Amino acid sequence: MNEQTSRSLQSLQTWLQSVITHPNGVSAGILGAQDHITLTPEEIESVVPASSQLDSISKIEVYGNAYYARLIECLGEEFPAVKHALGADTFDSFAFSYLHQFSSTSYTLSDLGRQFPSFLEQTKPSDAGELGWADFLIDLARLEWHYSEIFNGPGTEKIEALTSENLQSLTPEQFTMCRLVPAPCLRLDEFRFPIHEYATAVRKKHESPPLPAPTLTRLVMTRRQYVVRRVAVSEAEYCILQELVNCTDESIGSILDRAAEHWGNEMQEHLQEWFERWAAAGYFVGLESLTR
Amino acid sequence: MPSETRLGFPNLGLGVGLRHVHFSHILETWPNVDWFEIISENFMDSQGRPRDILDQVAERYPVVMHGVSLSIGSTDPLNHDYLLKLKKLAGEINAVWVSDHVCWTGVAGKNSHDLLPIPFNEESLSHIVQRIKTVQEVLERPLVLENPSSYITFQDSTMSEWEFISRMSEEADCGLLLDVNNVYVSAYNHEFDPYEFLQSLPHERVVQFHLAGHLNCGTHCIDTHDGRVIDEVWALYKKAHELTGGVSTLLEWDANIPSFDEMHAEVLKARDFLAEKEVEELNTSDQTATDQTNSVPHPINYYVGSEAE
Ligand SMILES: [Fe+2]
Repeated sequence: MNEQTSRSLQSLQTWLQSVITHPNGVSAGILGAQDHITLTPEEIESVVPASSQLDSISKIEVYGNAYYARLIECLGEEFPAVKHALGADTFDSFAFSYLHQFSSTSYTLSDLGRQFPSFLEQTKPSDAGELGWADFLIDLARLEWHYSEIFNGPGTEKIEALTSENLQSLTPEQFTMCRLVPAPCLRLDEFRFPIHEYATAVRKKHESPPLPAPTLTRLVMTRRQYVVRRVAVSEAEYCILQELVNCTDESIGSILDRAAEHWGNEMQEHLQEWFERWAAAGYFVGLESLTR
Repeated sequence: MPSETRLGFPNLGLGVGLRHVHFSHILETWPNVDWFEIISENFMDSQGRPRDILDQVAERYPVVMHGVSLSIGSTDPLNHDYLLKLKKLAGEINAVWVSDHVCWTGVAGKNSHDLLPIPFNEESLSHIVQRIKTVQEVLERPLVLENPSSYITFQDSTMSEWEFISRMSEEADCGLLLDVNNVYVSAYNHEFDPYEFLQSLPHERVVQFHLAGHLNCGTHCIDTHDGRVIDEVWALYKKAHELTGGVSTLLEWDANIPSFDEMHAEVLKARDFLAEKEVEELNTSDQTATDQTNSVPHPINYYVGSEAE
C-alpha cells in the first residue's frame, strides 16, 4: 500500500472499466485506456499489484472474462429460441458483438436485450436476397423480446377484463360513443415466419424443429394469470383488432363500419366469434367514452 | 430465535435467497424457513409473476432486500430514480432491511453488472461515506453494506479493507453485511489473515452474515456461489458468530442451484457448526477447478426471460 497518489478515484474507475470491457482482452484494454492512466501492460503493477500466486494481468482478467461471460449468459436466457436456432457458439459471438456495441446503461439486466432484435437487423448480410435465415432470426428475436416485456410489464391479473356478456350487451349508444380499452399487456405484431411455433417447440417442448418456411404470421399476444399467451389470427381479425387498439379517438361503431366496407362477408361471418374469443382472452378491460 | 437488535434490526435466524427456480416449490409447500433475501433488481420493475410471488412470500416470511446496482462507490451521480424504486419496493413488501455492496458497478453511465472493487484510501472513504448518508436520507432507513469478493487490489489503497469498512460504517452510521465466504476468498486472493479481518470490524454494526460456496483455482479463488460452504468458511462463520453474538444468516446459491430442500439444509448446518456437532458430508477441501477459464464469479443472480404458452 502506498501513500495516496494523485490519481483520482474517477480516473481509476474509468480506466478499470475500459480495461475489463475491452473486446480484445485486458492487455489490449490497458493500451487502449491510455487516456485515463498512461501505462504499458509491463507497468501494470504500479496500479494493480500482483500476489505471490498470480500476476496482475491475470487478476484483472478475472473481471474481464466475467464481464462478457455473465452478460452473454444473460442474453442467452433472454433469447433462448434465438440461441437454439443459432447454436450456442454462434449466438455467443453475436452476443459478444452486441455487448461491445450496446453496453448496459441500466441498473437492471432486464433492459440488456432491448436493442438485440434491431442489432440483428443491422448486422444482416446486405447481399441476402429473398427471405431467409437472417430474417427468421430477426423475427424470432423480436418475438422473444415481446415475451419478456409482456411477462414483466403490467397485466390484468388484478383487474376485471370485459366479459363476453359485456361485449354482447353494448348499447347502440356505447357503440357510437365509446372505444374499447385494451389490456396493458395486449400486443399485436406481424412476422414473416411462424416463429411462435418454433419458439414454443424450443422453449416449452425442448425440441429442435427445422427452420419453418416463410408464412406471413399475425400474432396477438397477451398475458393471463402471469403466463404469456400468443395466438395467430387471420388478416381480417388482426386488422380489426389493430384498429380497435390503435384508433384511440374513434368509436367502436365507426371502426367496425369502416372494417365492414373492407372485410365485408368475412367480418359478418366471424365478428361474433371474434368478440367472444377476445373477451375470453381478456383483450379488453373497459369502455371509455369519447367525450370530445 | 430473535435476540438482541442491531441498528434496530432483529436476528431473523437462518434464511435462503429467493430464487426463481424454487418459486413453484415455495408456493406449493410454504417451507419452514426463517426468512428470505431477494435480489432487489429482480423484482423492483416486475409487474408480473415474480412480483406476485414476492408479495405472497412477503405475507408469510420476513424479507430482506439485497441489491447489486446501487454502485455506492462509483464516481457517477447516484441514480435517484433507482433509489426511489428501491424505497417503494421496501415499503410495499415491508423489507426488514435493505443492503448492497461496498463496490462500484460502472462509471460514465455504463453498468458492468459486476461488483468492482474500490481502492481503500481517504478519497474513496469520504466519497462513499457521503453517498451512504445521502442514500440513507432518501431511503429513510439505515443502509447495510457487504464486503464483496475481490480479485485485485490497488496501489492507490492506503489502508486495509477491514479498516476501510470499519471507518465507513462508523462515519456513515450504516450497518454491515459480513460475507464470511467473501472474507475467505479475498483473504486467499490478497494473502491476508481472514481472522484479522473479522476481529477488526465494529461487531455491533454487523446486521447479517452471508455464506456461500466458491471455487479454488489454486492461484486464486472465485466467488461462484455454486456449491456447498467449505469447512474453513464454516470455521470463520463460527468465529464471526462468537464475535458478534450471532446475527441473521443467509446462504447464497446462485449457479447450479439445487433443490430448495438441499439449499435450505446447507444453511441449517450452521446450527450444527455452532453446536460443534459432527456434520455429515463435511467438505474437507474446496471445489477444485478443472477449467479455470470458464469460471465466472456469480455474485449476481439475475432473472430474465419469460414463460410463454
Ligand atoms: Fe454475499
